[in-house]
Amino acid sequence: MNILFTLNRYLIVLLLLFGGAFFLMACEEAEEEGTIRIGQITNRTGDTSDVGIPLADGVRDAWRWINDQGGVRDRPIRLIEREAGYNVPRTISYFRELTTDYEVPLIHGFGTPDSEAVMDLAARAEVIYMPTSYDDRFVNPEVAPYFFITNADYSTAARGAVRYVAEQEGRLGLARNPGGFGMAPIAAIKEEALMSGVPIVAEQDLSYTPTSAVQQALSFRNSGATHIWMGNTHTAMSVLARDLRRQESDAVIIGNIYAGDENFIRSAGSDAEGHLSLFGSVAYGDTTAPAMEAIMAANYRNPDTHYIRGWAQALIAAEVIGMAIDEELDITGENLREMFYQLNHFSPGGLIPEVSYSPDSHRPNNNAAIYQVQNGEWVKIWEEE
Amino acid sequence: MEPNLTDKDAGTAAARPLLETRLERYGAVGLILALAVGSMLISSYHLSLLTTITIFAFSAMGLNLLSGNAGLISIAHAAFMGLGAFTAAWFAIDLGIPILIAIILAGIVSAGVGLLFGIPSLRLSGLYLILATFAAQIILYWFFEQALWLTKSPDGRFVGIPEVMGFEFGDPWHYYLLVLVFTIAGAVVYLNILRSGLGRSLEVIKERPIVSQMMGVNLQRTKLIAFTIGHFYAGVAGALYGWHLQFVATEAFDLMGSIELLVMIIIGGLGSLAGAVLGATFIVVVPELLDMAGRRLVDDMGLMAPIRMFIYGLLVVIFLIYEPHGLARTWRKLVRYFNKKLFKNKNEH
Repeated sequence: MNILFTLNRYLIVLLLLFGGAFFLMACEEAEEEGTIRIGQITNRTGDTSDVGIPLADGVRDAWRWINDQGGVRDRPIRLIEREAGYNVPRTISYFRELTTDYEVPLIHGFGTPDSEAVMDLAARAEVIYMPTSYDDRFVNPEVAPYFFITNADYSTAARGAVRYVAEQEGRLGLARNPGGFGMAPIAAIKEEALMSGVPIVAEQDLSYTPTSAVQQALSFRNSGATHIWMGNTHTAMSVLARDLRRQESDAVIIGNIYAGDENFIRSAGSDAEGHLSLFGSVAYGDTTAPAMEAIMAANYRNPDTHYIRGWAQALIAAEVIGMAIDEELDITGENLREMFYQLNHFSPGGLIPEVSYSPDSHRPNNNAAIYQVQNGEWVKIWEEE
Repeated sequence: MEPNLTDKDAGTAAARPLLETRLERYGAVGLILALAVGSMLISSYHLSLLTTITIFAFSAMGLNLLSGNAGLISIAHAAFMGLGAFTAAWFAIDLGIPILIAIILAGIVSAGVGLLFGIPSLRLSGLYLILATFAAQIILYWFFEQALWLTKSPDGRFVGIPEVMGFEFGDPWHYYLLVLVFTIAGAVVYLNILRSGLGRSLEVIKERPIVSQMMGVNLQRTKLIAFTIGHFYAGVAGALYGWHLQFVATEAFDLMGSIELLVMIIIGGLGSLAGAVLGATFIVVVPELLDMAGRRLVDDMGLMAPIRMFIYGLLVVIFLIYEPHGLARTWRKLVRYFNKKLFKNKNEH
């Protein structure tokens, strides 16, 4: 008993906690026969978790719905989730765990730096990785042979936005985030602007969560920008919208797929009116999309465009797994990759534009759809296939 | 009566041998063997965690020397790890220098840059020194995002599988053994520094900076040596970390990373080897345990992820309240207890 007096009580409590945790770890979940394991590495707690949460929940709810319908060709799917919090080292560790300890053939991923970090590992492990970052490198099969994104890459979509500005005979300003995500389409935007005859009149950096964008707003106003490209988050877009109004600038922001969303309208309030954004999915409640009924039945607390894109991604993954089962192939990353190449104008429940993949290009489509905030709602005003 | 245990128990007394008691000697050999053999038997995920702990323990030794022993609080240690990771990749991949040499060179570069940042910090202490190291963190992080010749992209660069003299460390266990060798060597050097005149100088400049000068200790020189050695450890640890992940991620070396390293040595115990190792273990293992336990209890990651963060934060706070001297103190109590029980009457040095 001496040891109990020698040690602090807190240590005993700590040991009991750790013991309990180890015990729980040892209790591995039972699996039905024929279960197919797939993985998801989420960002529910890190930077940009405002979009990470609905994306992850969309993927999870879609797989739940698929399992409720009897699974994929009657085979249940076990989604093994790991929370990396947008942290690169944790993402790499979880990637290794999912691919070696659980031997999953497919993983739903998240952002740009974390996905980039596992690009090489996915190629070596021959595991399909489906990020929700649409970085240009991820559509190049020579660089990322096992990566499959489900919306047009940032550069392709941004080129569409520049062509829209050209149609309006506008002058473009760039509000860039200096990180990889924000900088990804900048070169393509400049190239497209040159070809379309759109002058780029100002370039300003803006962090993910600024409290003020007065300096940037003044620069855009003084340079005569009519449109401002914004590859950033809804927080940064809200702050810029507010400061543009305060500095009496009429410039209209064009957000990328992660900047202009339902959260932008909530946080910017009346300042959001008239601003634009690229959109990657139909709006929640649009029942012209066949899968919308299932999404609405999921009764999610805060459905937005990211949640819908999460669903779409899971539906595409389910389709390729189903195709592999139909062809009596083993469910491996290599076989699933071949199935992706057979997807030709596949529509995942009408939720996002149709996707096609080929061994030469993993770019799912060239779609650029621009929505505008009108009376507190996103309304489609322009689309280019 | 409970012995009065302070940070000085870490072993700064000159006359002490490297490993004081039989239990420590047998324990050290047993621990190394257990780590080397046991790591072969665990899953790849747990091996990855163990490798991370070992690398962070190495890095924490450097920070402990700087902040725990010399009292020079730094919140830029992760940035110096990053500098080591990127320069090692540059030496090995871009310049074709063998990896082992690249790792050492990365340590030297970090030490040199640490020395440069140390010079203006010589006249600073306390909060002002923390602010100076904060500036170093910001400058280095900005450098990583801008110096694309070194980092290849703002997010980081691939470094591939490490290869030493034709031997490829494709098997994570082999790489773990390499990391273990570095960490053991780092630990031996660290313990020897603490036993040396330098170790005593570090302690005295921390506790009594004015008295130390009256005693003939060159305050500025000692501080600069602490900056140099501490950041050498950071550079080597960063290089090892880069090859462990096979990707040098810029964001792994941000301010949060530096604060996490500082928390590591505070929870582990300032100024001791055990503190560095136990702190690294705590910081890496506890979130993972909470994560795993949470997954078993609640089948909803959406609910568990924020709860896990809350419990983790709470645990850190409880820990600091109930054991402000860190895990190392509890560890030493345990060692003394078992030493008494197991080696009664035989405990001669």
